[in-house]
Amino acid sequence: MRKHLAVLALWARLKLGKVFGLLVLMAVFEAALFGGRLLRAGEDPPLLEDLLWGISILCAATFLAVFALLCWEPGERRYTLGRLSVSEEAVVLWSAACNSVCLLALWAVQTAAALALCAWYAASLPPEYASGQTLFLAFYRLEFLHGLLPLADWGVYLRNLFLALALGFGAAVQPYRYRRSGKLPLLPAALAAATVVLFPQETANFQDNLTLLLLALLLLVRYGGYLIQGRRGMPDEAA
Amino acid sequence: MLELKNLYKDYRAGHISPQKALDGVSVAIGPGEIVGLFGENGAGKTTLMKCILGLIRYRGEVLLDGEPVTRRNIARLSFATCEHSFFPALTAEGHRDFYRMHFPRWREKRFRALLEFFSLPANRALRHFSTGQKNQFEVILALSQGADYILMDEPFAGNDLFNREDFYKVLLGILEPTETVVLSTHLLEEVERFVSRALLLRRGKLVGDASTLDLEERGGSLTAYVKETYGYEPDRVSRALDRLTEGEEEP
Repeated sequence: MRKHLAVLALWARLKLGKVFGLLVLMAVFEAALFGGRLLRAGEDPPLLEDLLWGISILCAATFLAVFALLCWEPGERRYTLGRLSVSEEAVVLWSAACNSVCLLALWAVQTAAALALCAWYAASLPPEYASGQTLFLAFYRLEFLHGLLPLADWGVYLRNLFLALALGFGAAVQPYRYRRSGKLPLLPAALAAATVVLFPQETANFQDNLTLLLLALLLLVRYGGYLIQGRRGMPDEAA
Repeated sequence: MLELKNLYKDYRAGHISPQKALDGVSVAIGPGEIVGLFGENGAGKTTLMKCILGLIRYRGEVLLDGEPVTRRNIARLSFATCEHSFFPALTAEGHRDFYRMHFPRWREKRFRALLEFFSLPANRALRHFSTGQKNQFEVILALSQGADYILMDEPFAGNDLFNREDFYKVLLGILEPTETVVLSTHLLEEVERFVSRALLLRRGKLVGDASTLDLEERGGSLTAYVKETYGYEPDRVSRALDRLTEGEEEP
């Protein structure tokens, strides 16, 4: 178990700090952007969707940056990872678990930031515009917020969880796959792009949910198969 | 004992016919030997090391004390390569933490001493090291892992002569009697005094295997043995120059 823990600690040391830094940067920039526009607005309260537009762009950019960071692996590692006392596949599975936790952390941090910013917005509204339902209605009405915190829409929670698992797994298997076949991460990149486009979710949009779930499932099956296939053979690299 | 039995390795690239990288290499390397692995570029030195470590597919057998090399015993082999195997974003301390946790026979004292000997910073990410420092650290990791068989593939590419000389001396001073080093290098004259045995590869075949002690007793040298084995023609340069200048008239 100690050998597995060593791999886990190594992964955390290499990636966790950078991911955490990106999440902090995202929250700080979002607060600055949101707060700046809110404070400049003057007497007339701006629409929440206008304020959130920049936030959703920042969130998408952070997601792509985190995903690229999770996928990236320097070539030198192959000589060490290939001669550890735990199998390369075990290393991949540990990385997948950690990657998924990072993506779930991104979801959690963005949701907390959105909640805090929306609460700030509600507090800044004149009493005639605000009610106890303002936040609740915003998370039902606005697509980006509903994708983050879908309230009673359980399918979207499941979709987000499934996306975090599939993208985390894809980001972990990709370097392993690249080491063996030199193939580029087209499927994980396609799922990441689809996530950026389809993540903002209006209530009960089954079609977009299904598209993302099918893509995630395809990635899990294809890359899972690759991992099982990879177990049976070593790479055959050029001289 | 590290035994290689009939190792074959072909490289295939597209529709080009397979190229033999190893062609039936068989050799046994015992505990405590310092083996120099020599051969021109493409002779199969790196491929041989990668086969021993199981990093690439091959035909034949690699046995470590009679057992195939698997996850169970692979920690008995370490590897220092000029292509580098460390993690560029990690510091020396970070590497130590990982290796110490993963390799039960990690040699802490040796790691500290070598880090100090080469004056390498312990808390700077490896990507900020110079090429020479990276090579030194690569070798330090391989020597500190606690392996019985230490494989080194051109470990000093990019290091200056004084650094290399010092390193050979330190190497001889720190190795325990059962530790084995297999050192692939082009720097024949430099390592001549340090290796106890020479293995010569040519086009994937083992064409020479001699102990330096035997060579000395016969009044020869490793350099002479290598030249003889590879059929080196001393007058090759003068013949080529003669051909080039043939028929040229004096101004």
